[in-house]
Amino acid sequence: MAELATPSPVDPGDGLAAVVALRRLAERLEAAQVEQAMRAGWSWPEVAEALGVTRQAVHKKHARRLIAAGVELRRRDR
Amino acid sequence: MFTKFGTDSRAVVHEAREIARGLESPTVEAEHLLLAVAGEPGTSAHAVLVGAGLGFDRIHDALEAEFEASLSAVGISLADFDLRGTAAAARVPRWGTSAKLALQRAARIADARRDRRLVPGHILLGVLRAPAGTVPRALDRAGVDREELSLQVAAAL
Repeated sequence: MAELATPSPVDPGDGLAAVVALRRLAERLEAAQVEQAMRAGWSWPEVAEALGVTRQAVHKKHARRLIAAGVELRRRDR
Repeated sequence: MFTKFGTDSRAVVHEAREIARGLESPTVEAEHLLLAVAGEPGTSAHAVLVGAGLGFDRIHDALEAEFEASLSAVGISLADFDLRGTAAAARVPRWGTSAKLALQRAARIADARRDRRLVPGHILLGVLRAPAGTVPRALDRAGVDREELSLQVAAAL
């Protein structure tokens, strides 16, 4: 967790690598959070609006993955 | 001159995509090509990697260490996030820029050597000779001498 100020890397390589890592983290976090929301009973339009993307976009990106995981049926621990 | 992908190279390319999918990456990147070479026995490139102590697991660990270190550089601790229980991506990942660049470099290397077939060793060289990016950073962090490793891979071609 950040303490008082967010450190800004001095080395450009470190800074650019942080951008790459943040994008990757955002992808993983999105997958986890969308799954959590759908398991909690959120609808596609709600999830889409919360993420600020279209319903089609969120559906295209996550539907098959979640259906394959059985999210629409019943909670299944993996 | 056009260099043809050999069967073993096609296997590496295919495996890279599977690895990217398994790791829930929306794109296939250079690191997935590296993991694919490390995970497919029976090639000289694989033998060089293993000989250098760079098996699939060690490379995977090095990539994760780089991921965590880069996040911590901007004050983020990966341990603060609960990313468990996420269903694996069902979508086939598309080709990312770093993997495309690595394959282009591989083709140029094979071309320059007048090799008729593009083999996993060329792909590995294409990955190792990236001037910047996740793979060089992860390998440097793990204490790997990329230049020496490249020479060994080229010698085994």
